[in-house]
Amino acid sequence: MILVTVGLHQAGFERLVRAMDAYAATSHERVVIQRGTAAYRPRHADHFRFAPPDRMAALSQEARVIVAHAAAGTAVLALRLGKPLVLVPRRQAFGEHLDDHQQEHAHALAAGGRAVVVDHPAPWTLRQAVAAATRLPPAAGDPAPLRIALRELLTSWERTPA
Amino acid sequence: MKICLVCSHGGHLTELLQLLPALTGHRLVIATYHSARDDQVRALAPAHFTANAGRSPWRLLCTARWALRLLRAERPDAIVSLGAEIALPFFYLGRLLRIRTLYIESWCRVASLSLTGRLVYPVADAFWVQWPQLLPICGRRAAYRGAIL
Repeated sequence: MILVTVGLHQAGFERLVRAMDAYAATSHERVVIQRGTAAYRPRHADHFRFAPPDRMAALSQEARVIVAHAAAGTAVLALRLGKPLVLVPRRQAFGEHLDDHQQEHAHALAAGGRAVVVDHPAPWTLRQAVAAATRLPPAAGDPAPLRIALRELLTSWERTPA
Repeated sequence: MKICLVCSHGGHLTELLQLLPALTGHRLVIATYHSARDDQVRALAPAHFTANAGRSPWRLLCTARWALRLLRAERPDAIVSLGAEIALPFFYLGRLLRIRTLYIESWCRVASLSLTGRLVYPVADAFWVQWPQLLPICGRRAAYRGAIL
């Protein structure tokens, strides 16, 4: 199964939803799309707007590959689970986000070998990316240094009240 | 110490969840937007919810009023946020009410700061980014201490 997620964003991500529905039309593998506020209703893929976190976690666990907008939510889940990850950045020009930071994020993760980026979502580009993502070795960064720094900062604040 | 965690409901909340292991031993209170994840948030800590402000200045003003009531009732010792715009009123009110604040720019921000980040930088007691390549474009008080992933 391929899980597609566009997050809880207020803006729709029509390009990705349409492209993954077209992908589903020619694929034997089941495609499940969390389509958010997209107006387009997929005809070939299973889809829903939003789901509670336990359902998203179960779907992520079940998925062979995860295709997501280039934000933190699903990407964190995918990398923690060691799932191949394809990122499609939301673009300002299409009204999909307020700016183009998702593109920078997606390419930074790709440069680190943690995801494959698709800038122009279409069935063929996505098919190539899904295949490429499954060939990446699983790689998740270590949150320990940030957690330790946070704990130390809070401790220092506790010792010296404002 | 009592810590108020502020975040919007999607990826920002997911990022915050990665940091919870660092907060054991502290009393937590969460301020976030209503969403399909309300139950998940309530299970973590006492939580306060409000409607999504988005970019509407009027609704952001309503969020500010809500934030002021919340901070007065809960009296936290510190405010920690990874964004998004829901953090704005908390950081400015935190400054007024002498509550310590830490802003961690989202993991999604690699080459540019968020508008929220730029707006809270002047009032935040600590300001961290999750990608070191951001440091040259930040003020001198910004720091890199690692990332959630």
